[in-house]
Amino acid sequence: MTSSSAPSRKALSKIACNRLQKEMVEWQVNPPAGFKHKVTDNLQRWVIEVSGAPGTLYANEIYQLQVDFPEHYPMEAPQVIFLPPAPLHPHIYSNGHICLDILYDSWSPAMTVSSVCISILSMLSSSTVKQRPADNDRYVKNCRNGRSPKETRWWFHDDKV
Amino acid sequence: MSGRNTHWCYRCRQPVRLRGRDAVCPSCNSGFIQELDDMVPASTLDLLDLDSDEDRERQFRLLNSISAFMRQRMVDRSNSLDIRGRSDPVPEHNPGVGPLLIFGGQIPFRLSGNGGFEALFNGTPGIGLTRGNVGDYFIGPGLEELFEQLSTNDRRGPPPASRSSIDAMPTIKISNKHLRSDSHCPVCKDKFELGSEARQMPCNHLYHSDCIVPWLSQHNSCPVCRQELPAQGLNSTRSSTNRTRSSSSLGSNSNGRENNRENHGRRHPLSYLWPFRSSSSSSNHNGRAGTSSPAVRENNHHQVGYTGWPFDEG
Repeated sequence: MTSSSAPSRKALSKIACNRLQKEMVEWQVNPPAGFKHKVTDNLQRWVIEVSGAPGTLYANEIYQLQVDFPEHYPMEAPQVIFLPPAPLHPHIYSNGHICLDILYDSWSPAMTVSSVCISILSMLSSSTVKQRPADNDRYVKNCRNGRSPKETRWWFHDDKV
Repeated sequence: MSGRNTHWCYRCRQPVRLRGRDAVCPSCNSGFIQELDDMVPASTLDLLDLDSDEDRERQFRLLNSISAFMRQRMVDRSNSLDIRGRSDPVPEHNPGVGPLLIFGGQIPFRLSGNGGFEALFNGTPGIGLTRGNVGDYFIGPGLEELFEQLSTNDRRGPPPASRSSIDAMPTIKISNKHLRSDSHCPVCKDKFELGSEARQMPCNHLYHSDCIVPWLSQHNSCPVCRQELPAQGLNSTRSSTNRTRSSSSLGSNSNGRENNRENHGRRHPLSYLWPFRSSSSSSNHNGRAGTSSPAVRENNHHQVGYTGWPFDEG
């Protein structure tokens, strides 16, 4: 209701609420290194600050991740995108969409916001070149109208970065 | 009303009026016709008439879905062949070959033996497509719904586990020993309570029943280690030996085959839409792809061909 860019937002199920409350508590006790989450009363959308890891191409850079949870989290993956400006990375599109299998086909309900964050930071850290994906313009154009990356049929082919 | 043309014949490329009740073109007898009322003015939907961004986007989304989906299927196929070590004569598919496309909401079609497609209109081959002719394809009614369904349903990831294999998953009582190794349910993150019940996957990972069953009925994959439940309630060791043994042991032969087949089908939850495997599956997809969309196109040009396909999505 209040937000525009999220996909049709249904209220979180009770199971999702319970699980997210636990994750929130766990995050406060033990936040993943390099991430900051300002706790708000909105359990369904987390905005998380990421600091590029020291010694990597993204050192001293700060980005923001927006994590939206579906009604049936964790049976379904959260939608995770970078808020603009998204880091320059071969798997991150300029609209903030991230090509990372665990966010889509390889999601598992044992994963958490925290583990997803760590995967994203690891993906950033292993990058050897700051550039957009080769098909960035075409993809982004195709995603106008606020399409969710979860609607994209991603093709994962690179396990190095 | 009665004197007007009622249908469009795609073979004659002209409007026709049906004689009698047979849904065939009166001049060429082809069944490749469509009621005019169902059709949308070509200017708004013609794939080649791409002056608006909307059209371009439509086309792009379509091709995007098609190509990604086809590739996914091909990978699934080869994976399943590798993993299962199947020896059944499944037609080999070369993943390096570009997708061959033919679609029709209610038109039976099948993969012919050489990897080409044949579409059957009213039982007679109306269009045959082969690799040499990949620029020709037909897009029929229901296609948009098909892709709508493909892209909105969250059918991705591993296919569901069977009901029977889920039911066969053992229920155990949480003991102190369990608590030392698995103190929390990996899905809900709640602590297991001593003496309470939990379900045990073949990999020994423990979950609350209410946590693991909904997941397995969508995806046959342990949330922690991705190991699958064995088919049909056989435990993991038995089922794997069964599979290798099935060719030699007469008793388990039919059983093993059945398991295999069922399993195979489940690896491709969309197989009812995509009867690539054999002619036997070409009969049951009617109605699945919907009938409400009036989108009908015929396209014999290469403009929307393969060169621009978004095969790599990053």
